[in-house]
Amino acid sequence: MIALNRASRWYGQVIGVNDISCRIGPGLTALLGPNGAGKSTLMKMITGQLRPTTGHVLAFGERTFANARVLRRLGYCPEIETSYEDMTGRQFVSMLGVMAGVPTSALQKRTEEVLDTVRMSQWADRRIGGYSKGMRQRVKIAQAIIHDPELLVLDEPLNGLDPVGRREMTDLFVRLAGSGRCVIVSSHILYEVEQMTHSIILMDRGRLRAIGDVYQIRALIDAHPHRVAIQTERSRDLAKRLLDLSYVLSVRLSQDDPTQLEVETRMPDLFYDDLPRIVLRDGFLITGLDSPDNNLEAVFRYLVKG
Amino acid sequence: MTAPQAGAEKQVTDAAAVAPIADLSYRHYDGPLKDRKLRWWIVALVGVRWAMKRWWFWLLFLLSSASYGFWALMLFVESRLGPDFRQMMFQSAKDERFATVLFRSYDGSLFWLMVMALVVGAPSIAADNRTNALQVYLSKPLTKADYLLGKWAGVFTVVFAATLLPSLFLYAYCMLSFWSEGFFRNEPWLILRVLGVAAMSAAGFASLFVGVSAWCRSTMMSAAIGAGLYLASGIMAFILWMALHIRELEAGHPAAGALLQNASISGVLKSMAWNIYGVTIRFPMRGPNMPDGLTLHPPNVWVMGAAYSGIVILGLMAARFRVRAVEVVSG
Amino acid sequence: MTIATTTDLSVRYGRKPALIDLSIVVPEGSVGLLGPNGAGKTTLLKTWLGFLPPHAGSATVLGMDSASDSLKIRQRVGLMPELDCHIPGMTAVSYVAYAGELCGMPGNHAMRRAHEVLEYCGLGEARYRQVETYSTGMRQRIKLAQALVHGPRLLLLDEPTNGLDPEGRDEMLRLVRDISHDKGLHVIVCSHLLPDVEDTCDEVIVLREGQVVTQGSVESLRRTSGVQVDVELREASEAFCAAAERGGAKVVSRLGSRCRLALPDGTTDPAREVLAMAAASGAQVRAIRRARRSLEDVFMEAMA
Repeated sequence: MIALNRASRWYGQVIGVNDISCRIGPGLTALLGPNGAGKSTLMKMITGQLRPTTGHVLAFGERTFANARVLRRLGYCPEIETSYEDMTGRQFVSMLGVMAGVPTSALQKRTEEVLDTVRMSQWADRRIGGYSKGMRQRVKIAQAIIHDPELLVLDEPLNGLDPVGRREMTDLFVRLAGSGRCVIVSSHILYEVEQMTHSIILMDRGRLRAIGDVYQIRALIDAHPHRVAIQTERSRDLAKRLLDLSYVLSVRLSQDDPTQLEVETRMPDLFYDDLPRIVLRDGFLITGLDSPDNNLEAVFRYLVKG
Repeated sequence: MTAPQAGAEKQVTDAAAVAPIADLSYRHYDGPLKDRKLRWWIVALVGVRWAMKRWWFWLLFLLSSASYGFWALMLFVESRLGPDFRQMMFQSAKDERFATVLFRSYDGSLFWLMVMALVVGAPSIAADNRTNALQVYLSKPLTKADYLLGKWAGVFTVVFAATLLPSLFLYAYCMLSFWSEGFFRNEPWLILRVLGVAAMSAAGFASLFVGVSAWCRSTMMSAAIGAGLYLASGIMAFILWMALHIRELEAGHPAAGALLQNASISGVLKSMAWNIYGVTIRFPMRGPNMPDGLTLHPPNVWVMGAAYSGIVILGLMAARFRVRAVEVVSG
Repeated sequence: MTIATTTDLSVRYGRKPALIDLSIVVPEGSVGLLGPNGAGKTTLLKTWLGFLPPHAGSATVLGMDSASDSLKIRQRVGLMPELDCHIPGMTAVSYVAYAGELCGMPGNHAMRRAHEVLEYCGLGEARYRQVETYSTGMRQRIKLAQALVHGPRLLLLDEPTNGLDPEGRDEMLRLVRDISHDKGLHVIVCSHLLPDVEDTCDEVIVLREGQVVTQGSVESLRRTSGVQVDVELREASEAFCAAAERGGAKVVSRLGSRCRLALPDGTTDPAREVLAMAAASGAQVRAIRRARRSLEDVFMEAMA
């Protein structure tokens, strides 16, 4: 649905986005990167607020910049605070629904539906000026989905929400993505992103570092072989057995916890196939087996130089 | 090797034997913690230091001191050229000569003093509003009163010093050059008047500009509003004065409506200074209604005093009201 | 020693009750204060610091009464506010030293201590720059520094990782963990990010609509009943679940290639059982972890 072709954007000397080419299809994709990586610039280009200095940014096959046809099918929930302090929540969502092209006949019904989805029906008639951070966030999400867009771009959408709200909104995004829409979520809270999706776009200093499935990406990071943490009483004995395996690169015993070992290998599949055999044959009592860096946080850490 | 040196070396070696690598992790602070008495002065000092570091502050100080230098020069020239020169400038009663000069210097410095007070006073609370600094202040053992007093005192101290120092310079010059002409003998309490004017002036400006500052979220706005109030009140007073007293003025009474003429902020401050110095100024112009020249007395002290108090109280209340509304832990 | 307490505390905003007959005792160490928006967490913090008078009951902090000794409390407590805030027009060192002086530290002590604290918070060279030029991550650290400078006994952290990118969050959490353990400093963390609280706190207090819903150590709240393990396979496998059930285990939950099994009570070697089930069904096991309820589950249950 979204295609970037060698898109770049700079502000004077400062590079925002540097030569990015990628495609983003339906489903939930997470946009990640440290502060200053260019995520907001990228999102602004996708939502038609900025024109790429070079290259193209296309959505639904058309260029996005100031393109009403694209904007009609797109919902954006920015990170900035709302500033319509004197409007009520209902008025605000309604107004943005009109601007997004919701027909008048359906406007009221849609406004109510959407306010109900974000659980703001109870407070919709209060001034936005009196809203807490979480309430403002919900209203922002409401305005992004009121016109039922096919493409949803969400910048830190869970900011200010309490744990119940976070779960509700996460489920909402996953649901929306599951029904064929393209949902892009940008967030710094990696463990939440992990629960939403495996599909990521990682940026750093304006450049694209990685795009795709997080576990595939992890497997491809050569510099950091697969690590397996095993907890067992007879850690040294197990260590000796494991070192017999040719594809095990190293076995490290933890300094703080004598029952903890850490194995490094480039062939995780072979390792996981052989391990049960060793454990069951020699009667090792394993109290824990885990892969501490086979997750999003590790991918982030390894790929971003910061 | 002398004994103390050997002892010191041994101490270091002992320490090294126990823990050669220093532990730089977090340590507690177990030192002294003073109580609250002068907490507000710490806030004030920050304001004062901030002003003193800015080059434009010193430029404004020079500009506002220029008036005093001018009048010192006038005194010098007058003393050389004699009484005829005096006739050209103005007359004062014999024992009011130096007070008059001090008053005229103050009057001349007022505009630049206002600018200086504005640039120091405008950001006092407005800058804090912009960066939410009040959350930091109030999470410390500081009451809102300490904060306000500190901010006010910062502006007060700067303006007080800026008014007092050149006045003292002029005073000292007069004392040194005109002692024999009855400088101290005629007006022994003059130094108190000098201090009084400086304090009055500083308090007025501090209250006004800190009051305005409390209501703004940016220094620019605060400065604009402060300057606007000051200048607008001047223009309004002038227009009203002209409108209501035009006939009298045309008929040759230039002193008519003195109260209204001084019904601006600058006018009030000037009038208060005039009253504190208590001088009568005579201009040797001749006119149909002025056989002895134009004599100007200080405007009514009660009216002006009330107006001055009004400015100070309104300013302080404005600041107190606004700062009250902020909360430390936001929801 | 109790760090902070409330006794039958009721606090109102006008007519609206915010805290109702609240009685809690905050233990030593690192405590998380949780609750949905509007539960009263911020009201509680404000009451402890003396900004809100109790309608009924009382609150104490470090043995001092909140209503009458508010200033003394603030001298012994450090607050890291949620929103972006700093004193304008100063370098980091001056700012932190000033914060110290406002707490009553003499000038030279404040300056020395400011350097020490900024070093601890990881602001090396940047300490001589104006605070206005700082990035979000640095601003959060400076907020922490100004809360620590006067050597408080209790630290109140309101959303300490607000606005930080993943690297910044890791470092802030590391700092919070470091400072709340073995340094004689007690910490209360308010956050909506439950894994952050899991990471840094030993105890939690959960509020809802002005009252306490749950309180306890993170360890005990997270304990599951019986022998439960989380198993992660290389790919989702029906055969494995079937083998598990045959082996006497119950599949508590499944999500993709992960599942939680409840093994029969008294199972001494859960890993062996799991590996046997995997061998029987041809699945490849990638992780076996003792199952713990997540703090999120605890929270959701408390809200229900």
